Amino acid sequence: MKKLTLVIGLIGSGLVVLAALVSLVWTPFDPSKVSGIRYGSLTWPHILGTDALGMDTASRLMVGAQTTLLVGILAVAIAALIGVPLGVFVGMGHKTLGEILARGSDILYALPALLLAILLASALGSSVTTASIAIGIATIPVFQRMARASTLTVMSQDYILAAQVSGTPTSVIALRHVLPNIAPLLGVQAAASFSMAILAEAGLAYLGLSAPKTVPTWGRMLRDANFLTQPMQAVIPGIAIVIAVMGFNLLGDGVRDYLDPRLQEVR
Amino acid sequence: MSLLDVKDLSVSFGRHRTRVLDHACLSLEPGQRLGFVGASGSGKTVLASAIMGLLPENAHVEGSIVFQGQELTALTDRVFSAIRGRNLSMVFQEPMTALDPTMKVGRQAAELIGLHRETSTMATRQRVEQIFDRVGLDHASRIADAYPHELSGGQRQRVVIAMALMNNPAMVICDEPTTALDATVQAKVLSLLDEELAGVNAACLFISHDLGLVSRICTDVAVIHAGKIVERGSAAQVFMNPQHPYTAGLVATASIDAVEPGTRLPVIEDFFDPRQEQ
Repeated sequence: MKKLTLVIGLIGSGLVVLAALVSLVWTPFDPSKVSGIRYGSLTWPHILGTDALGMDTASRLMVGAQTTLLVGILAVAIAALIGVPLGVFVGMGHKTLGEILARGSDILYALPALLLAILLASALGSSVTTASIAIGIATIPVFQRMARASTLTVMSQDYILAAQVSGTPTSVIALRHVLPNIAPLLGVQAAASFSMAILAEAGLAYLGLSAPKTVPTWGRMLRDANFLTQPMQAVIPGIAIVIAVMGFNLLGDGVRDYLDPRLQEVR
Repeated sequence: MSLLDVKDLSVSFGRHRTRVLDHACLSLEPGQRLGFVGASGSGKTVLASAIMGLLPENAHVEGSIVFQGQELTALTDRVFSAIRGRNLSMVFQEPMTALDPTMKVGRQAAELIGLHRETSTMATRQRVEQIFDRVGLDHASRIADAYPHELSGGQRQRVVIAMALMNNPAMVICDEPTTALDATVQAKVLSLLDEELAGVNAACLFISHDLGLVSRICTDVAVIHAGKIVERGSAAQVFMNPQHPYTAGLVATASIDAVEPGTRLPVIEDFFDPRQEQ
């Protein structure tokens, strides 16, 4: 069962990564050039058909995988790099300051990613980067809370007391004892947030708040497809999004089950 | 001059200042071993935490703790850190949780040396293996490369003891170090502790609720009840001729062999009624 989760996750996320990597060097057609008739059917050489302008859907899908990964990495990196140190600090540190920071993240939590994205897009212009930054900022509280909660659990363990007793400075305790012990949980959270970011970006792109028309992204493809006349052109990027979201989610769960020494002990 | 001098130490918690330690006084000479006996919740661990400077933020401390001529209650965390782990160390009750599950035990032990001394990686590793060997861990280098979950309870506790002795401390606080172990391993770990403490001539504050253990390892005994130290003296004196009714109760309940078969076993309340005290 555990193995199955990991395998499905690996296949799903592997497909996305593979598509992105291959598209760096090769795509069946030029993804931003008209190469066939409008709304061409799913036949050779356009195996996934062509879009409203006659550009090859398969090629655009592959290049879109790059954007998808970029968004996930950027958003999770922003959220984790700010949220985790904050959470660990709050979990280990002073109570009053912690309360203030925790309430601050609650306020941020109340602000929807969509609103933040609209705000940023109007200020900086809509692009994949602004969308990623907006999603990243909106995800900070998730990491902050997760890091704080798991830090509190770790801090009540004897080995933290032992480290304090042996005169280990607080910063060293945070880096060597707290972080490695909360890392498995954060890893799973990162994978989950990664797929949430992909989904959020697709939504933003669908609303025109992410990549401009020239950059092929899955959300954009959904937006440009006419579902009534050419359902396949909407279904295909939709399936790609589902595969990516599920793949990274299951990968996170699977890797945790596989790597966590504490779960291994039970096995 | 005594190694450790605790004078009129009172610790209270919370807004209502609930007192868990009431004017405790005790002193320890270099190399001396003091057994600290009391029931659960009597304040044993609070005293140990107070000496180690590990009381939670909401604790209110009065009185003085002087260790090696230095007043500990007034120290900042930074200065205290330098003393902890080098001159003052601690053996924990639960070997299962006293080691970081994500770190090889050899590295955890090496960290202790690195914190207080400038040494090369090679020398540190040698020292770790040497100490592991001394506390009776076979294949020291293999154990040093193991994660805590790969070791047995007894092995882990040996590692914990090795880590406490790593920097040749002047005093070791043992907080029920054998409670989590079974009887056979308990006896082995206890005699190991006995040898090793003598080896580095470290003083020891041995916290336990088990009189038998205390009498085997300690020369002196202090009995604590409801936050007050009710009796203090040499182990022989306290056990043979207890002065306080609570101690008398403890001794009587611990010596089951002396009870005639068929008669009721003694309980502490036969000797001591806590309500009369107040």
